[in-house]
Amino acid sequence: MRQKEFWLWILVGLLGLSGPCHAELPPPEDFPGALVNYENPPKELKELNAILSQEAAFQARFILSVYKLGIERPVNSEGRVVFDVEKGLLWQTLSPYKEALWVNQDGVFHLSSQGKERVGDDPGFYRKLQEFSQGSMAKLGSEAALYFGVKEELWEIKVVPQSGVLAANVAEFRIRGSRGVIYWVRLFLRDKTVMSIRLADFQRYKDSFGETEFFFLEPRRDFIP
Amino acid sequence: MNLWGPGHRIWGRLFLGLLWVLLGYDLWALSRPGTLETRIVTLLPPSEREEGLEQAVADLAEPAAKRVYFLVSATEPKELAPESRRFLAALLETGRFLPPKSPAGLEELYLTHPWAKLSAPASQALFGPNPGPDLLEQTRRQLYSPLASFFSHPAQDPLLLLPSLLRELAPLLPLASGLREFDRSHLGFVLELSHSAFDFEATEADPKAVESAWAATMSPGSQLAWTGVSRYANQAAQQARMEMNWIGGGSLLGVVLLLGLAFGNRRDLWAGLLPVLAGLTLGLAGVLAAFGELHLLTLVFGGSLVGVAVDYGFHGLVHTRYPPQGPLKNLYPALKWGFLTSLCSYLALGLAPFPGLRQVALFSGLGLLGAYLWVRLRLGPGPLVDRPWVLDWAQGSLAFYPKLRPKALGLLLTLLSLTQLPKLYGNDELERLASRPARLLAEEKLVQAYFPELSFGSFFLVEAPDLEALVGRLEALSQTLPAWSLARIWSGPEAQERQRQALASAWEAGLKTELAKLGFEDKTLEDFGRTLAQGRPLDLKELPLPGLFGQSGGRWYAPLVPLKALTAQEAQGWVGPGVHWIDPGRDTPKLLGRYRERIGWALGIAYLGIALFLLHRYGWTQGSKTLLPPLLAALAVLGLLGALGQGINLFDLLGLLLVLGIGVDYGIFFAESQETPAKTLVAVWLSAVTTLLAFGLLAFSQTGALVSLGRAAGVGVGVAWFFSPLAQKRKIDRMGPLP
Repeated sequence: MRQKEFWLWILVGLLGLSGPCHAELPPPEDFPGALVNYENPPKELKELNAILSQEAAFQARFILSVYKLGIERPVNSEGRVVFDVEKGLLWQTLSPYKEALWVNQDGVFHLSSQGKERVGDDPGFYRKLQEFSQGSMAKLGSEAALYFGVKEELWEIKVVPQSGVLAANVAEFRIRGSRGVIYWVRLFLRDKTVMSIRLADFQRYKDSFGETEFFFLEPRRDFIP
Repeated sequence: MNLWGPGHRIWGRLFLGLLWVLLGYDLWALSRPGTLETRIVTLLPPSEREEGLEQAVADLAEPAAKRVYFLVSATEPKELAPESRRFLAALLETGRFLPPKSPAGLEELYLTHPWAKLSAPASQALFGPNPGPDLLEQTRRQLYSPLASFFSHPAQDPLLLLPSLLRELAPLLPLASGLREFDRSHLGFVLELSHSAFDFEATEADPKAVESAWAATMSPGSQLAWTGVSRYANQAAQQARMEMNWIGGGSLLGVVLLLGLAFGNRRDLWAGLLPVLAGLTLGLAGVLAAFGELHLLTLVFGGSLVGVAVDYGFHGLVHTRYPPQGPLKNLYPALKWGFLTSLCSYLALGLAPFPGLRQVALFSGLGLLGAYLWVRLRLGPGPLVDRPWVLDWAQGSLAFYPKLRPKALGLLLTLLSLTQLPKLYGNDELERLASRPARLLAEEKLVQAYFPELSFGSFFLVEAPDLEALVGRLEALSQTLPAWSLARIWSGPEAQERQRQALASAWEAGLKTELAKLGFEDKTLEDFGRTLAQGRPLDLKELPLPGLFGQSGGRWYAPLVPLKALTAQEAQGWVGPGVHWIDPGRDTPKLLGRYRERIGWALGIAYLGIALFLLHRYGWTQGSKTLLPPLLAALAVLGLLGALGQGINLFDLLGLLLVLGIGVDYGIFFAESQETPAKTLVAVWLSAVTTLLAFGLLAFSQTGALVSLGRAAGVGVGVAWFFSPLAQKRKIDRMGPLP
């Protein structure tokens, strides 16, 4: 084999190896979570509640992989997300396109240089995120079944909405983390769509964001270590 | 003594037989559903708009009128959502409410007919210089948006046309069915009535159904506010029916008591009431036969007709029961001229092109005719009434009357009234006429704060000779006016065909290949290609949302509802050929005002006609005296309205027409009273008190229109009654000139 062909094959091999990088990371192993009795939740869940109730906000980087019927491969995007109990959820896609969405109690808004444009009602996420972040698991009781599992340092919550706005679209969603840090969120929609959100550089905050920090105009450094 | 008088006369028996038949007809007709009409707007004449346009407005307004808005709030919001859902389910179970047509039905239609409506960006891309690449870029952007994950169906819509269209429509689409959470403490939803909002019998049970569903599902800490056209219509109908019951009942009770006091026996009590019943039977039958329906206002007006129709019975009974007894035929001239002049004043109502007023005119005219015919054909002599104190009292009153200086009082009244006349002005605002209880208004205001579309009662009505032209006009208007219309969700058939062909062309030219590279499955792409190739335009009638279009007289109509309230002046900027501004809040009072003016003219003509008749019959002096009671009455009413400063409306003038009819009766009976003015006074007393009972009670109505009518007629009849003895002929006049 000539030298040129050798390096060509090395290059092809490297390119081939890089193929899996465009696919989703291997899905996590499922925990055998148990159905939670809201009147008497497990000790670990109570501890998690206590930790979460100390947080007023968090931000992280995300990799979103969406599996939809009719498309063979997942659709991947990356960006930043920030959640604030008072201000809402800001989802900023940076790659492959830039888009900013803001979910709050007034609905879902598309943010652009022209301002904000309301695109619809909150499908139920903001309310649930608020309840979750405030450690108000009990509020889920009337609308969803909650499963909780623990494995080593990790915990996983599975929520199966049974009534309410969220139940119309979402069959279940799972959140995995360690102590107060969330690593993974998966949403299983009723139309068989699966949304898998990996979070990195997760930072938690005791206090709410200011306006400029919330909209990424200024960095924020007072995160809970 | 035969109660039925000279009942052997053929005409009397025939009349009695006719009344029995008509009574049966009345009862049958009233028992049919939908016979009773409650909308005040049906009293109005057809507007000067085209008939087709008017029909289109009525058709398109009906779906909106069926909508009912519910707002639930709680101080303890924890259970608010689940309880509200149970409440909503309970309401649906009553069968009286339906979930509104959901825009979710639109999604399915757009997936199977993606060319039915394109979003603005998709349309610009498709008909731009680079349709394929531009559409592909839009699709890629949609694909990577998390929103599209919720709203897209790539298996059916690989171009992801639906999410951008729904995003464009989001601020425009009416509420979907189901709960809408405004905030932690407030939830709302919209339902539609399963029946017409103006069907009195059907809507009567709605409030109870709501209360039962609420009590069964909601905890005590929650509050409910709900509103809709039907709530006001139902409340107005119940109010009118209740008032009809106690006004008519009160009148009747008054009549019974008075007759008992004046005559003291059951036979004469019936003899006094039967002319009223005859009049009501004939009046109802005429209206039902001519119009096929009966407005509640006619019925309420009819309840007050008791006070008028009973006059003939009173005069007949007093004349034949009190000494000196005389044959009834001596009363015929007074009865005849009194009836004819009253008839003229009521029939003057029919001059105005108001269907409802013509109904009232027909009802009143036939009612008077029935009462008059009964007295003429069925009332006969009876036993003398042993109540000497009644005549003594009447004679004493007549003797005392001049000491009250009625001429001076009349002059004073005239002068005072004339000073107030310049303050009169027309006031036809609907709020003054219709019953809108404070409680319902407060609930409406509360609900409006969360459902802003409730604020908009006005809209543009766009018309065109065909669908394409209609949609074209709607689209052109939407370029400069944010509004909801058919054109927002549907393209005309020709436009759809152009869009389908353009999509198919771009699809085959390279879109399909590029989407395959993005990872779309072969089956998805094949299916979509087949849909594009074989598709047909989405038919207008397949759209699940009502009230978007109408067809009448060969033309197509569609409403264009501004998203922001416009003033009448602002709206003129868009009015033009085929584009009409419909503003019920402004148009209706304007119409009422115009017809108030016409009624005013009719009143003037009636006064003039009656004055000429009286002058002709009685000569200048007696004719003028006979005219005094109604004339002074009219001045008093107009002066009072001027002093009150509330303005004059249509129903004030209706009251004045009544005053003319009743007042001229008093004058004529006194003018024809010959040797028995005391007996005439007794009959006038009886008549005036019953009339005052009827109209006095109307003045306590919750319905502004009835208050106006009652106040004008009550004050007028009282003044006419006081001044009626002025119309009696002096002895010297009766004796003729001295030798």
